[in-house]
Amino acid sequence: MGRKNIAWDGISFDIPSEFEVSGIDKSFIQLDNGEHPCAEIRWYDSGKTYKEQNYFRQLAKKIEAASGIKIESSVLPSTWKKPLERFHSTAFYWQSDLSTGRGVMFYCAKTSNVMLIQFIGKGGEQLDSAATMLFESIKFYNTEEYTPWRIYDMEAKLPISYKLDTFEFKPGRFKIGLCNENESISLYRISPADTILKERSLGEFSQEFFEDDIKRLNLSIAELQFDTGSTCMFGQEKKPSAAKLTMSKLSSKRRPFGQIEARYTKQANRIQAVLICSRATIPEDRMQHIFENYTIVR
Amino acid sequence: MFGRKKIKPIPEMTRGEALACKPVKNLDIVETRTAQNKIVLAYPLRMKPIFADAAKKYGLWKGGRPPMKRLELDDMGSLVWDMIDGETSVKKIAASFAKKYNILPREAEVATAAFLKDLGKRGLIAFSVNN
Repeated sequence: MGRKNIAWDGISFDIPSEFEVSGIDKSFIQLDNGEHPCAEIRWYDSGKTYKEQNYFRQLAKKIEAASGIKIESSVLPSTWKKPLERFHSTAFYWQSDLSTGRGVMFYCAKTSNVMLIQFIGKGGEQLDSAATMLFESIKFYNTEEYTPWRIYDMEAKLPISYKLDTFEFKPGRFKIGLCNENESISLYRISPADTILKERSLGEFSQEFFEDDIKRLNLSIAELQFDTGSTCMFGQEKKPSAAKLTMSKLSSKRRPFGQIEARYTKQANRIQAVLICSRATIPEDRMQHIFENYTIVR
Repeated sequence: MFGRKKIKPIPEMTRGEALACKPVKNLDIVETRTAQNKIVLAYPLRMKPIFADAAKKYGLWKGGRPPMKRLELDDMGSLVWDMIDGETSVKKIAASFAKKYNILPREAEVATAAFLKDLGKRGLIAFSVNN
């Protein structure tokens, strides 16, 4: 069975290659098997005060209030025992008029994370092996130096301090926005590049695409062309005004320094772009470092 | 006895069933091509009876036919439109679309489905569920 890796909001895991992410949010992923949703994954930072019974009771109450479905604890299926032995886990099942489900809630003491995974439907071999694959490969990153991001065809690796802020996955336009106290980084992936750039240059497209950011940050273009594609950069010729700099010291949300870089990757037929907004001067090599760790997976 | 009557949920179409539907063109559509090989569709405007009466009164209803509206499709739209033949399923159209533009299959399915849904709302196509 082929597998693929998903990395999102501080966790990573493997799923069968025919599975796809069909729902996404902060600390939440829904998977489908090509026909219907078959699994849901949620995770929380529980701190050091995790009490299994309390969490399970709260969870069962919440679900019962929201959907009327009664959650019952059950014995951990035998095939799940080995891959879950590194966690403290509680298995459960539920049944409604339309469907059934079973899942597990487990606690990772090392990273203080509670994870809830449920598999929807009657199960079968496909779902069972997917569950084992998922449990074996699940990893939390909140104690690591870097967080991996791998979703659809976007793959990036950024320092742990950057947390998920916004995201958008519309056909042709994917965006992941991350931020820490001083800086925000937005990763864009736009397709199909050849059609978009058929009647205009990358510079013209980027100017239109980032129109508001260019105006807000007072950026100017420096277009560069390479053999394998093209790159265009937007930077600040002048330092932001004294008023803007003062405001940025007062509010962490004001980030007057900015930079944009867009790259056309001919082979993948994508446009990759990065927007950085910061409260302080952006180091010259920052953009290069981001692009070194931001690729399109094929 | 005093509780609200339970409404039986209508089973929705699964994703697979929806993708197996075959779009069929409306025969009332006039299809032309521009010099750039883009398709322009002229189709009768769908109106509520009250607006249709007003349109007739102001002479917009010519020769017993409702006013025509034009829709120019871009390259991607034209590709999808050309594949609508009543025989090709949404899934197959999306797969061809994904291959042609080198995009993710799921992304192509969402884009194609949204485009076909829009065409359906305008009355330009219908969907056949027969295999």
